[in-house]
Amino acid sequence: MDEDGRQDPITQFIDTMRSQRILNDTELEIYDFGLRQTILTSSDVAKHFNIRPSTASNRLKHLTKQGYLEESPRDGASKRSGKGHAFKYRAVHPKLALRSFISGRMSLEAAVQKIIEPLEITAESASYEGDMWLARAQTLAISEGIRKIDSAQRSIYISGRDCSWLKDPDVKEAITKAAKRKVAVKVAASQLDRGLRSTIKTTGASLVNCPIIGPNFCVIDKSVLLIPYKTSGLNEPYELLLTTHDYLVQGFVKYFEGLPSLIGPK
Amino acid sequence: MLDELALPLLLAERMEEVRGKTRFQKLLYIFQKRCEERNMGVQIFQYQPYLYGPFSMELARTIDNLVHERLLVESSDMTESGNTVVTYSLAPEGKEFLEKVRKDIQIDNRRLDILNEVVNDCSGLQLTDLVTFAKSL
Repeated sequence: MDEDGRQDPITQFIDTMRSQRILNDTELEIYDFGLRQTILTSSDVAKHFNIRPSTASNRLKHLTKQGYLEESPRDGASKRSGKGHAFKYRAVHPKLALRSFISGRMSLEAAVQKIIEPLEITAESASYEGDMWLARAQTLAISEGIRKIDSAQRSIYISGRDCSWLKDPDVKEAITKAAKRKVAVKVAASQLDRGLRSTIKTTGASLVNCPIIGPNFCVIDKSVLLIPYKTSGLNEPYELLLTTHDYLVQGFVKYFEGLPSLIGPK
Repeated sequence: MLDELALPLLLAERMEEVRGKTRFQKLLYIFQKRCEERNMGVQIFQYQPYLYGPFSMELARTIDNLVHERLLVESSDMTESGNTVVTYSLAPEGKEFLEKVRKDIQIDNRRLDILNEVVNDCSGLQLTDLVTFAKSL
């Protein structure tokens, strides 16, 4: 990074490739190394990464097969390997190396644009009332939760022991935005840590400590119930259960509104 | 180019909230079609027939770009049945942009009247009815 905190373009490019999972970390490190060198040999790579020359050679060959490196044919008629006849490699220009990936991404983007219409028509016509949906991947659980919070018009009730899922910056931002658009955000938690307590206060939500350890849930506009939960260990990611099942939702609303310390007399 | 950016913003301004990209697609198609019928047609977006009526990839991408440039706000809303739909509204920056370019854009008053007419006639339609209507043109 330079003085202003800007990343050098190669690092930025490699980081983008990493986030898109185009190559694995080892392959990316070698490609990065290749982009910064004019010529690579297996001994350069072995030395730089502190790996065996044969391993380096295999990795270079693998990247060559994938189209990220090109190799220089050896001099002389004999193609047999031997001392003094190291293969030379150089990094292929990213535009060429990623050509098929980029065109694939463009077709994928076009396909996504086209699929929006049938999905919107289904969303506006089909009713899934009563069904329960489980978002198992944590990234999906968070984005589904945020979408529902973003759609809140009147109220968001949040209950839990420590509400640690509110620590997610995107969830926090969604709650803040909801409070700003005058949605009544109310949090009832029995064991909030100090950090989260001040975080929640900054979002504009009303906060009261709950005397009992309550269930972990969130109700949006008294019509959608979200239940974040962990399947096993503490370090396991959250999953999210969603439902608009009216009987179930109203049960949670009733519980929440029955918390006297939070809501006050009716 | 300016029209291409301004037209979706003008629609969002008039609608206050556009519920879903499909509505954007069909309403602007109807607008272009009516302009054409009245010999005021400069085709801003190229449409192709698709499964759910006329569809413009150019417009789909323009909407994404307008969101990315923070001229349009993309947010989520819930249908009566609890499904999530994406809605679009004009961002304050979008309003500023429209004020700045209003004099330069080629959308004259007659065409703005057509846009208002389309909003009045079609914005209240159910999505499936809007799709059927756009398909029939």
